Amino acid sequence: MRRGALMFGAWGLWVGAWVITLWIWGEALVPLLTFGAAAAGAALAAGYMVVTGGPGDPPRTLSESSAGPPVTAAGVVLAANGLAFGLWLVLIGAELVAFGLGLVIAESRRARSG
Amino acid sequence: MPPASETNSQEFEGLFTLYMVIGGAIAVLVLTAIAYAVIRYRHREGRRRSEPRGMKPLEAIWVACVAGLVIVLLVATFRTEERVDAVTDDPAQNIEVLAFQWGWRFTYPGTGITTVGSGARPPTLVVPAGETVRFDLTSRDVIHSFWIPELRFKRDAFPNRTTTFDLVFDPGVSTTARCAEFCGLDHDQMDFQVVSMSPSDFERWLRSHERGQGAP
Amino acid sequence: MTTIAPPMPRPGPAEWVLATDHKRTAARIAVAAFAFFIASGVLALLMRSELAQPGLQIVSTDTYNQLFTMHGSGMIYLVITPLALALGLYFVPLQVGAADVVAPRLTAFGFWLYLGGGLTMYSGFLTSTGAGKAGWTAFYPLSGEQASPGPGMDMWIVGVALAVAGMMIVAATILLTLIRQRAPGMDITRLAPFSWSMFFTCAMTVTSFPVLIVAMGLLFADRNLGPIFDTPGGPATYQNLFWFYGHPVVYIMFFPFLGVVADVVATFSRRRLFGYPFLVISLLAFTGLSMSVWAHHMFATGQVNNEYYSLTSTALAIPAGVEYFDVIATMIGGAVLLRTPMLFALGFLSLFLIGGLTGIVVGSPPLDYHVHDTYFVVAHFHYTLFGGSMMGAFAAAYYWFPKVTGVMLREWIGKLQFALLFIGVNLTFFPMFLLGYDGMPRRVADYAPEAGFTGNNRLATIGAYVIALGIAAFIANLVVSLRRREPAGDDPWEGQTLEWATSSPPPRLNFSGLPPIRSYAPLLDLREAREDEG
Repeated sequence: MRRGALMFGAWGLWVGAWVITLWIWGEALVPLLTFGAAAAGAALAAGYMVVTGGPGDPPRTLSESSAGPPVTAAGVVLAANGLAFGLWLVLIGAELVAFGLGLVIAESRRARSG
Repeated sequence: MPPASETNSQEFEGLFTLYMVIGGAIAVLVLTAIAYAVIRYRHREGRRRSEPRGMKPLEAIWVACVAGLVIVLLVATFRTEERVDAVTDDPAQNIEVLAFQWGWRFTYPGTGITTVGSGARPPTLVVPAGETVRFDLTSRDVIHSFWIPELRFKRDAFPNRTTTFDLVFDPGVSTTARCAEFCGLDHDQMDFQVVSMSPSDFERWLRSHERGQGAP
Repeated sequence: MTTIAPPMPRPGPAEWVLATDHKRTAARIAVAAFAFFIASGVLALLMRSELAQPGLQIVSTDTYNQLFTMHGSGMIYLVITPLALALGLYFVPLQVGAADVVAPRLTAFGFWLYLGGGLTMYSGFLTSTGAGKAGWTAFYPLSGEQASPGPGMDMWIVGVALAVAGMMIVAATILLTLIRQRAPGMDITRLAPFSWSMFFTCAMTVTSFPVLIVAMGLLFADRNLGPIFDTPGGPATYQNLFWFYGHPVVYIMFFPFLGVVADVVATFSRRRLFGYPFLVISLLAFTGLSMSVWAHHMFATGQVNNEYYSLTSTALAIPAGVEYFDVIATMIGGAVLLRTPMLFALGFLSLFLIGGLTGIVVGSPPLDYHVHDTYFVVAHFHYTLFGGSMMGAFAAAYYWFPKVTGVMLREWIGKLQFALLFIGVNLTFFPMFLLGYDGMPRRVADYAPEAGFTGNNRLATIGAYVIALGIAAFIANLVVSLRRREPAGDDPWEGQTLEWATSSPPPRLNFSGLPPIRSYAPLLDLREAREDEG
């Protein structure tokens, strides 16, 4: 796993080289921030994975099917639309999100104990 | 910075020709290579696969050539851009351009002359030929773009800020210009005319319109 | 090698919604993306029909503005990006020997966000003010509440944010799968070229997509809460935020298909890919550099450092040249079989070439000052996105459909489709280079009869209908092939990579056993070892 993370980190460093070039050459603040964040984010995430990582993840239990994803997503979509249509829709969406997350948490508990 | 001696369209054509020649050559080369590979190495019974020698050195030469062409193009681009974007200290004429939904207003500072038009009655931008004209461009509402296709030049017009550029016009210009940044419902109705006259004719035009107001 | 495993049962309706298997989620994305493709294509046919001659014959200007906004938005946010990521979601776990993707439920959640986002965007058509109509880019102030009032624009913003968030989640899980879930022996230096292309595609996605979500959030807040972009520098700031996503996204829409083409060319040349290490390094260099070019979309604003972005944009030609060399050199010394996937791969290479070279043209600011915001640019990006990405998508379809369904697509219909699309793309988009150079701007519902644009517009419209015929041929092929089934077996093409080492379609956990992995072409290794013995 370390090598994979290293490739991601190498990519981040290459992007970083171009960020520095732009910074020296001169550009406004906002583009430098987003650009710098992209490079730094990639490098830091990769570094984290290299430092904490081992030979990959242990075997895991895979679910067959789950209602959690569609329900939670429906809630997020409705809540987002609620930003345009009104608080009532945001609340309905939030309830669905809570329900969907609950389903996923219950599934994870069952998988760990079962 | 010396005043622009070439009009923008001459600058453009020179650079565009360079890009077309190099791009065209690369296109022909690559397409020929693909055709060669597909025809010469098509699947036939009994063909043994083999790696031709010299591919790796050939790749190194190819990459070096591409890098060289990139440098050639960049040098030509940077040189042209420096001339095109140059803004002189003392232009022969200033014109203020206001873009709005959905038309244009041209103001000749110090003369009180203003030309406004939109849609079916497009305004005419009158300019002197062979001299540096300074444009100060802004928008009253959304982003528009001031585009004179015959000059091969455009600049975006932003609200609450002024964009400045210089242009030189050939004599005898009489052309249609457009808005090139999508600006809402009647974006395609924002044409304007550009007409150039000799400097002395232009002086006469200025003086004759100084008394009158806003004739498109 | 035939794997003895029970075939996957045909999914019932409940399973279509609830299954978490990465292959099911990928199939959902692909089906939704294809549906959105047909919708966006219909919008394009309406536009082309309107533009065939001067005067407004079919739609009003306001409707036309919604058409091109939703066509572009649909194709970029809802069709090609999801198709590219769906291919990765289906095939990356297979190519690395994993049983499933990291966090399958989260990945499924990403699909539903994308679907919900797309439906939200299209629902704008049902509102009083209509769907989003500020272009797929939604520049401020045009997208502000003064110039674009009404819920349709708000729903467009919300929908885009949701769709992009969903795809970002999918890309993150693919990237993590590549890093953490490779089978023993599948060292990172043994990834198939397609998996490498997905690696760097997902790196670009997770670093650029968040910025778009921020931009949409700020735009929504500006419209509904208080001024954010309403300053002298605000519109340019919006564009910097937008294009920081908006440029990488076009490479995200390209690289996976380049990866497929590399796999296809190697397979149908019966050879290992030439220059594998150079290809990997050039993918890293190309995608990383792609993150730095975004403001070449802003050359005409006069508010960015034109020289920097021109340098980085033009420099892209170097890694692109490496990739073209490696793919073409793979054919040289091989034994090229011109089956349908290979035809589409060759179409990709030749048409993307034109798109890429004209991209170098618009990467020069003095040249861009003329052709920016004209049909020249429209031609450029349709050569890369249709001639490139979509031809690559059809290469992937013909190559991998047998693996996904267990059934072959008809060769002769595939070749007919290829011919129609190749002719159609050139007939539609080449005249647009001339239109742009001659002075026709983008995003116009109409043009003057005396402008001289009519002839080329007519050609383009005819071409669009030829494309439509090509797409109809593809749909016909799907129907015919699924009705009168021609079984494919595990490995109909004598493939080189791990997805061919299992049944078609693969079982739930993908593999019942793996061959030894000592290079990036394990099946080719096996075949050559057997040939040497026998």
